[in-house]
Amino acid sequence: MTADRPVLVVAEQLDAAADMVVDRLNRRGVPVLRYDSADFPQNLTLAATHAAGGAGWRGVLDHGSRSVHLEDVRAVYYRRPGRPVIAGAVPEPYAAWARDQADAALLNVVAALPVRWINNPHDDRAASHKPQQLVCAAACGLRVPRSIITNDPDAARAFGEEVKGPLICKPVLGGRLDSGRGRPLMIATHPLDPDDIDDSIRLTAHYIQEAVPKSHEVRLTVVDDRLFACSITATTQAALTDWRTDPGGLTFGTTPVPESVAAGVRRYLASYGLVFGAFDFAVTPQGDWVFFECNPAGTWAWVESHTGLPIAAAHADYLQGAQ
Amino acid sequence: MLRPPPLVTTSVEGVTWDEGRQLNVKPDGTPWHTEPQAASCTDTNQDGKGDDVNDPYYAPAS
Repeated sequence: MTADRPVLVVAEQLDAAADMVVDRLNRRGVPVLRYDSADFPQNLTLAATHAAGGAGWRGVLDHGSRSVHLEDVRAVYYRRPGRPVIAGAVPEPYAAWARDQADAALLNVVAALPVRWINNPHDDRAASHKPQQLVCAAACGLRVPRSIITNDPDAARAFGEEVKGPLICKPVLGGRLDSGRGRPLMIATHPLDPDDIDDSIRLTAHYIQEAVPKSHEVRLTVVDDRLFACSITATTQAALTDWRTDPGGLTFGTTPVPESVAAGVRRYLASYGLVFGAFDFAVTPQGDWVFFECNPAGTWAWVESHTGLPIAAAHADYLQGAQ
Repeated sequence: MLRPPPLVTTSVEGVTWDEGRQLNVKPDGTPWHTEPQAASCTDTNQDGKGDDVNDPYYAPAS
């Protein structure tokens, strides 16, 4: 591997995690081409060819001030880019069609590069959905909360009777709820009183779990088998239910990871073909770690910022091929 | 019951893009990422809008 083979960094411009990784690569002399898919096709030019024989796309990705040959790319860091933006002169519905063409072309030509990835977006997608995550986590030996997904109020009530304890309800799928008033809403985890279960459950699927008693929570960031565990201790009831809802009610630290949990998360990532994962765990007062979710493109810049854990360096090691 | 979403932001005042270094810098030229970063899953691209929808969790279930 020659020293000047570039790393592609695909992310939005205002992304501190991408900045951290690029900074590390710069210091190591590894060339970088960083782009946001939203730059395509207006400010990013792709010319990729595939021969009749010999597998692999070849060609140029040109971002104006710098360009790369696809066949030279060393690795790709793919982190929540935007979607292609079509010139305003193109009216709908043609603009939407053109955006889908641009999206599919750029993403899938780059995703076909046989290089190191954090993470290939196709692997991310398969790993993104909570119902499958729960199955995978349990199969990998991790403890998970008792859960029900249902639109049947009787089944929800029966689940509550089986749990015989506090319940929470959380979205099956992330994203925002745009009520048309102000900012789109983030739907957080919230306590669910079994007495409040009614026929409104029939309106859509609901994801209900036993409320896991928490000593604290852990954001466990894993990069190529290296584990970086950030403890999150809530000082308010809101933060205890969902730490994302009360940023002022949190303290951060580092914590060792039990070997059984470390083995479980490594099996989990391997099963999805992922190099990176941002796991959320609750740690019970008895010290048991309970898996909630794993975001394959989760945020981690704040973890390094609060704890000093060398997560960016671990990314750079993998992308550079140092290990 | 819906509440306004918490939006945790990291300041980007005075931050500009450094094309040569391929990262964001503060007015004195130091990398912006060396500033304290808010513990946020609600403003992942730090644009202060809290409307990030490119998270794979948002991928359509189909």
